[in-house]
Amino acid sequence: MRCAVVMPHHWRGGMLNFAILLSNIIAGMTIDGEQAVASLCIPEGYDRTHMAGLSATVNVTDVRQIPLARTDARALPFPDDYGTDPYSPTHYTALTTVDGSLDIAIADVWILLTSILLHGPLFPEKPYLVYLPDLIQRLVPEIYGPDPLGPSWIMNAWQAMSLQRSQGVIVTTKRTGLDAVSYAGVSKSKVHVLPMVQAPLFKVPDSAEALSRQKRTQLRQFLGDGPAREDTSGGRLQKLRCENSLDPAQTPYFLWVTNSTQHKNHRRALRALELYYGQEDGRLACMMCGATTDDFKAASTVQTPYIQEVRTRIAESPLLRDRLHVAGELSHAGFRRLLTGAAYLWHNVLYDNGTFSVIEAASLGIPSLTSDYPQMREICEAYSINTRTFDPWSPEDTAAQLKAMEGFLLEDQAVATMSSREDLRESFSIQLTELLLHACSTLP
Amino acid sequence: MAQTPRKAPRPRMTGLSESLEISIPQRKALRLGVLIFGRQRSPFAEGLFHYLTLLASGLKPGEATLVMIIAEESGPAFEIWQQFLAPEIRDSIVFNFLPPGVADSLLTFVASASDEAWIRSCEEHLDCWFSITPALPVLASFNKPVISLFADYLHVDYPTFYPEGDAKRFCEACSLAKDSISKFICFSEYVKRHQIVSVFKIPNDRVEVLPHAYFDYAKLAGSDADPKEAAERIRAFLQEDIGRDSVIVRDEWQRRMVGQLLKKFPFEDVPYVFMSTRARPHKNAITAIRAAELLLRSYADVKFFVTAGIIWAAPRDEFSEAVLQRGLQWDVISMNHVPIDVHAALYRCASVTVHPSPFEGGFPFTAFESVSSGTPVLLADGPVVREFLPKHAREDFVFNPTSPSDLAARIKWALSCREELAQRQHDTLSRFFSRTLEENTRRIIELAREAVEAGPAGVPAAVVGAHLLGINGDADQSDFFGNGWWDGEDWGRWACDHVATLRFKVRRGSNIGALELCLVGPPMPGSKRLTGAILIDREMRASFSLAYGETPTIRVPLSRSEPGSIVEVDVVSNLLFRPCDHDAENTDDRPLGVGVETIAFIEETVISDSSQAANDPGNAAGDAER
Repeated sequence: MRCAVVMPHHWRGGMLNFAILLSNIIAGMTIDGEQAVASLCIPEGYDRTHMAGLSATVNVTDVRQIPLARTDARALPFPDDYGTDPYSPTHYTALTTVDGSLDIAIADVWILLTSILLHGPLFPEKPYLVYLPDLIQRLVPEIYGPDPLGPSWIMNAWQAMSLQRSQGVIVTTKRTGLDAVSYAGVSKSKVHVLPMVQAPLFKVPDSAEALSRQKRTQLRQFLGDGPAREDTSGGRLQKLRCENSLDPAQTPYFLWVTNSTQHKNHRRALRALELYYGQEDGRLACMMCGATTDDFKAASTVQTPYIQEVRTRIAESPLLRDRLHVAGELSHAGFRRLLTGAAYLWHNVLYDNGTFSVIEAASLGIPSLTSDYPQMREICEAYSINTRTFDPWSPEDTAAQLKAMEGFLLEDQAVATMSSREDLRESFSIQLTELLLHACSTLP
Repeated sequence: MAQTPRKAPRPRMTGLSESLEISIPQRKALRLGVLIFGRQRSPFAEGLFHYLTLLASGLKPGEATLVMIIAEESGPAFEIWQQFLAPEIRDSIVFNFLPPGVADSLLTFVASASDEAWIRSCEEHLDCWFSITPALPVLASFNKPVISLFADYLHVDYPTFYPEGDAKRFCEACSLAKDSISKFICFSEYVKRHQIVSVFKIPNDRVEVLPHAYFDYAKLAGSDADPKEAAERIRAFLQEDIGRDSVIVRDEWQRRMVGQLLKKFPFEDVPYVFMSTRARPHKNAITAIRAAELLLRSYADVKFFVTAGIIWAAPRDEFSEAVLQRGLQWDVISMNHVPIDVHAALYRCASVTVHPSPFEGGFPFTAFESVSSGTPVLLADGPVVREFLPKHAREDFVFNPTSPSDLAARIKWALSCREELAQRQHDTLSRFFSRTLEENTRRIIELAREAVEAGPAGVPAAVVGAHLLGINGDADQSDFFGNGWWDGEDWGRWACDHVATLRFKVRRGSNIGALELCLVGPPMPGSKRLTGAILIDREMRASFSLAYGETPTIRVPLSRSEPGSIVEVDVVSNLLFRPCDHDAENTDDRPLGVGVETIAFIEETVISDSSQAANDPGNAAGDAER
């Protein structure tokens, strides 16, 4: 079976990680007694240096989305679902490779990592499955702009059509599955919740727990009421408190993993941080990192209104200026380093499919404070992670929980724990195989 | 208080209804003319058609014929509407068209002489009119009796919610028509007390409260009990390609954006709130939108389908703005203009129904529609819900209409116990609403028959002329006697003031030319002469001078006033007598003016004959007195 994994947009971070993981899993499958063949189709011009970890057996090729008029498509032997309704789309989005390679054309099945496409619903040239990461716009419509008739919303309509028309929709949380049904109108029988699989971004050192214990001691010294004991950095910490300046190498901090899109809740998060440092007299610094967060650095020249607003707010807030440090986009190693040094991980989003960062943190014994929403609960439940939560819609609650973390970190149970779920990958493979077989057995 | 008799009591006059020999042909079925104003483009999701469906569904074949008097342009909509009725009921409905343009202006339409023909032509085929609103001035021009629904006068409860002039128009139209309406039918005591009786001064006994019946909506609509089949029905409807000229009006941007999605939408799998309401200002639909936002922000997986239209592109109405500004247009979706079977199917697949308006003229239909479909309903707490359900029974139903968070919490609660709640609500509604649709329709027909038997309302003597109104009779005279009269004696009435007013309406076609009043002089022997005048519409038309014992009949010509208008007759006298001042034994201390014993309405032809007789040299006695 030839399977084309299609990532149509220039994504990095979690989505790229998943694309690589999925391609690797398929490339390792034996379906109907034959080795499966996987191609990873990336958008034209994608920077391939980001693709570490991809199996050498996976062919990588560039794809392009092209418009295909429905009037032309009707001449082809593919069912056209949209009838003569005057309000139906005029074009499909067809997929084609850029350099004439055949990965798309001779694939038995496609797996799209989104059905958000540029020119219309997907032209169903092949049977296809769609991996639906999330439908953030359901809770955070701002990400598609205020004009309900704008281009993003039109693509949202095409996305729903492509999802409905697919041979199956893959989700990794039950709640995103419910969104697929309720929001995108996909029939319940087409939605498949597959286990969460995660490729470790880094190797966890054996000394992780010892490091964690040591860090707790340091935090006790920093946050405790009494004078710092047997501590070489004690004097410096006292001094930092007075100067309100941040030296990330020395000051205890929590790590805010985010990116520059609106669903990451920056406005409320910044308000919460101001409350934490103001009303709550918060003591820990905040370190921000993640894909595209370089946009929030003072030196960034990105002019998107939202990004500019966040950047200005960070720069101009007297409470944040010296306490919030933007580390930007990091390598896996850099991320590990920063995470290892963090007092805890802060995950603040309004809505998405959850973040595996909490798994990475927990593997290092680092606790997490995360937004309380269904997908995150599912991840924490699946991996038995003992996170603490806050209401992301309320900066007041967020600030209070940030402050509460200072007390919690001093307790013995602050060390994060989790279950390793090596079993999930196998279960994922089995279910995916069934889905691929099912998809191939149906007409496009 | 003792009654002061006239010197020589006269025989009791017959009551009006007895004296009028209205001929009611004995027909098999009563012909009820249902007057519909405006032009109806689509029969779907309109309150009017909904009510008519319930009315017609309660019809027993052969009992009555509904003669729908409509604009010719409404014909196609009514044809579609009729298709959803049982065949045996369809046979009991016929149509009659209003003249071009009349239906559009009925809310303000005052009939002129040239309208005589169509009104009479309609009335040839009717026994009684049934108006869906009392606020139609044209009702005053009808000769056949009129009964009317009075659903509500919501401006009393929401005086600032509607454009200036709306309330005035309703009030003026209703005031013009009210004397012609034999019976007002409303759906709650609340409306009767606070709106009909208190605002329009309609006597209690002319208002019938006819609470709604509890009915099985899926059965009535010919829809499905099985959710999957119901969902198929909705999808099949949405998959029909509706052209731009269709009677189905749905926002084109909604169709462009979510139209395709809805054609395959898994209604049976999605937990959704159904809200069957228009987005009129007092309907409180925006509270539900705020609740929807709260629900989504608390990560509840819930969607809203509403029958109100949502306009996607600017300019938008307030309701649409509330949806679009919150970015909820993909989770709050308009399903307006759906046929009744699809409407019922939407109830069947819903998880819970919300009725956001705290005021309806009657217990909300949505409650019956939803609960009979197996879907619980949440009702905004308000006077009419309180009227029908005692406190303990209300607890399962109501939410605070000013609190989106309370509504959101109640929706979550209802979702958590949907089946049990629906069953409890069904038991409650069955207990407190025992009437059936058949009983309600039968009652309306009974009221119409009573109106036919009693004759037209107001002052029926003025209808056909030459009839004697015995003012001591049984007929309801409350509209006839204005200010200045004591309660009736056994022979007639005394004025209680120097000016006593009679008020009546000259009905179209009545051909009344004059009025004859039989006056009664001072009550006690030895009184001074009583002198006075009779004014019609403030113009003096006759004078009189009466001594004790005199009972002259004064004929007063009427000017040709506009048919349908109110005529005011002032009987003015110079003195008032207190019987106790003249007779030490008489305890009656009331000041009494002139008395009136009978009133007759004289047709012009009779006057003309009299005139000829008067001009006849052989009959010189023809004068104003008889």
